[in-house]
Amino acid sequence: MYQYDEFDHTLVKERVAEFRDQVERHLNGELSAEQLMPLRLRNGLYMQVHAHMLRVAIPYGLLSSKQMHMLAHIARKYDRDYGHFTTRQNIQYNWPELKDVPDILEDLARAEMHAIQTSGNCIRNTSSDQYAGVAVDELQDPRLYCEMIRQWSTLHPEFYWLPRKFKVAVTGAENDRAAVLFHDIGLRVLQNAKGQLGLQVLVGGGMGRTPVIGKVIREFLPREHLLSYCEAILRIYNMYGNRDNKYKARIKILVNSLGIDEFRRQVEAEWEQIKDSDLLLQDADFERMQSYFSSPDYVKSTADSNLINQGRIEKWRSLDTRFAQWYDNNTVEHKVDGYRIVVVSLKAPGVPPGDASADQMDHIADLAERYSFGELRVTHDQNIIFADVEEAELLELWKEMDAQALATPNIGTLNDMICCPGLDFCSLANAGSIPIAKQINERFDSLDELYDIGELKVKMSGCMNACGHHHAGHIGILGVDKKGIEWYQLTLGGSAEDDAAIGDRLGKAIAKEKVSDAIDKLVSVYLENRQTDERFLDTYRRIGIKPYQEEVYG
Amino acid sequence: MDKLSSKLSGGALVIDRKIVAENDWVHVATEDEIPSSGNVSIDLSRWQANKDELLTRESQVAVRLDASDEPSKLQDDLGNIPMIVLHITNYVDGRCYTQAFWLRERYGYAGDIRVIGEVYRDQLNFLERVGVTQFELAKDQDPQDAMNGFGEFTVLYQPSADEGQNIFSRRRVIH
Ligand code: SF4
Repeated sequence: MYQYDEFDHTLVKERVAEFRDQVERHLNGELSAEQLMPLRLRNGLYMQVHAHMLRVAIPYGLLSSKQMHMLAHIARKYDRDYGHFTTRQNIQYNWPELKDVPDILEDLARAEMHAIQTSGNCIRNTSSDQYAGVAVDELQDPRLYCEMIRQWSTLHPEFYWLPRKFKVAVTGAENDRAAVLFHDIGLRVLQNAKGQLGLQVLVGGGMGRTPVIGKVIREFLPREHLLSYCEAILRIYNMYGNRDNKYKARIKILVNSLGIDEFRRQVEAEWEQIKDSDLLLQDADFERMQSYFSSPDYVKSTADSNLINQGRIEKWRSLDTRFAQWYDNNTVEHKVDGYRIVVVSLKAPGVPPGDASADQMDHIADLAERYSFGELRVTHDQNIIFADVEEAELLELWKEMDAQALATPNIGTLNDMICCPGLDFCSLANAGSIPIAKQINERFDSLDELYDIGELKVKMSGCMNACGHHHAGHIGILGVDKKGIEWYQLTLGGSAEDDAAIGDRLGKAIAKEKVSDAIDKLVSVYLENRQTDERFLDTYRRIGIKPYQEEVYG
Repeated sequence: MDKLSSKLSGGALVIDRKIVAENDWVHVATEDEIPSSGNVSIDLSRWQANKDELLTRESQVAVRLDASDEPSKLQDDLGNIPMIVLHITNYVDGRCYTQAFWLRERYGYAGDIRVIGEVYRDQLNFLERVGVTQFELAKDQDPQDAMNGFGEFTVLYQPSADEGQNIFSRRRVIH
């Protein structure tokens, strides 16, 4: 993975010093709370319902064991022994003290981490494919592009006070796991007919109040122009994005109001001016960056070793159904024979989705050290991944994970829900999300039933801001407030993948205690109507919303 | 000082990272009469309407842009304008950064760029990077303290209107 050089170390240290000084000035009374606000936001520090919340960047979701230990240390020393992994591959701490935050940032800097631009109206952490580098369907590794964007966008003097937040995602695989169609800028790494490497550039996608699917602004951008093209888009947005109404301030609104053709014309005109500037990258830059993401030293497989592994796994599966369930649900095919991708479930029953205790974080870090070359990834579904596990070691690893409640075999099922912090922590929330996750978890507590239902992505947000990406859920749940009472609006048929779609509204909102009943009914319509192998989403797309409405409201 | 002040004038003036005692510019508000003598800044519309007349003044005339003004409108006049003033009415509005960048890099403007209005310590660094040369601080900004706002970062990851370079081209030379 990427290693800081002297530039990166210096920049992050100087940033900590700057923020330490800002916090001191605030505590001395020189900087009002109002003046501190945008400054602390750009260091990841929010004000929540009960306390501050600190969001730490995990660039494109990649972590070393050492960094994970640092995250555990911070949870233990400055917070309440846990952290919350988010859908944008970051981690949030819910209880830090303002006066401690500079120390937290200093500790993070020692592990080559930071919280720069994790909130505020600026360019945020770039997210990517959680299986980058190991996916079977990967065409190009997206991570080098992410890291280049990270550096270019960090403390960019011109784009620090944008109309609204700005998120970039990059994928390099056939199947999009980075939701590039739902980002302000989405990038697909590809190779053209001439063998040239480049990017398809999408712009103006997003969730929030007005969900919009991104539009292609350029079919093929040679990769040396990565930074200048992003800069041109940002410059047009910074100058012409709406600044009067924060609900109309995202780039998607600008793109829609100008129309993609006019927006493209403006961006291309700007790009003409800067494409051959110092922003122009060279092959050597990509090669150097790629070397940080080279494959680990895999054990070479042979026809014999493959056979032995297959036999071994079959035997383990037949001897222990719990192992078999875990293997089937929580591991994924790896591009290298003899290896498997393992998903650590942070969706154990009774625990808020995405939460991990400090002890769990330490265990996960140790396991990664011993079983997966000391690297981890955070997923968009709020789980953790060991990307490179030898098949021969799966049983041992499973036993250790099982002992730490990290092997709940529910990945991809209805219980592998995405959920924002909601009313329990978030000051913007209309309704709770964690209690609903719990209610659904309790209702669907039979693994056999979950497996029978199969892939079903449930995504939940506590308000219109859509941090839980409910628009893109096969079933989406949105918390709404009606005269101080929590209600829930359901949507059906959303997807963040290549078949991206915004969910359709089912009907009027559902009372809090009735949500899992309603989900139950939606599932029963699916089970009655599904044809062989159809997923929930496919059935919905085939039969339409009517039968679901009749079942829930009839 | 007093006779020079207008409703738009701010606190201390900083040039080249130093507090300057003299500030002999008056920023004439849109609705106010232009004083008969002395250096003045004039809003863009008044400049466009009265350009020829304004250029006959003995003292200097600067043009003032609001956040929504297009720098391109000054393209043909840049040789006649000793200073462009960017008026920041709300410091979270980042358009002035692109205005300054365009003036420098797209239009090659070589005169002074001054910011007035909500100009506080924590913006100075980035304003300087995009090509601003003069800073008329907000009245409630302690000028001594503001000096700490410059040069907090010795590493720059990207080019702008300063000596900053693309970090990848810098590394090409070093590694
Ligand atoms: S969706 Fe709303 S409630 Fe949930 S975290 Fe985002 S802002 Fe808070």
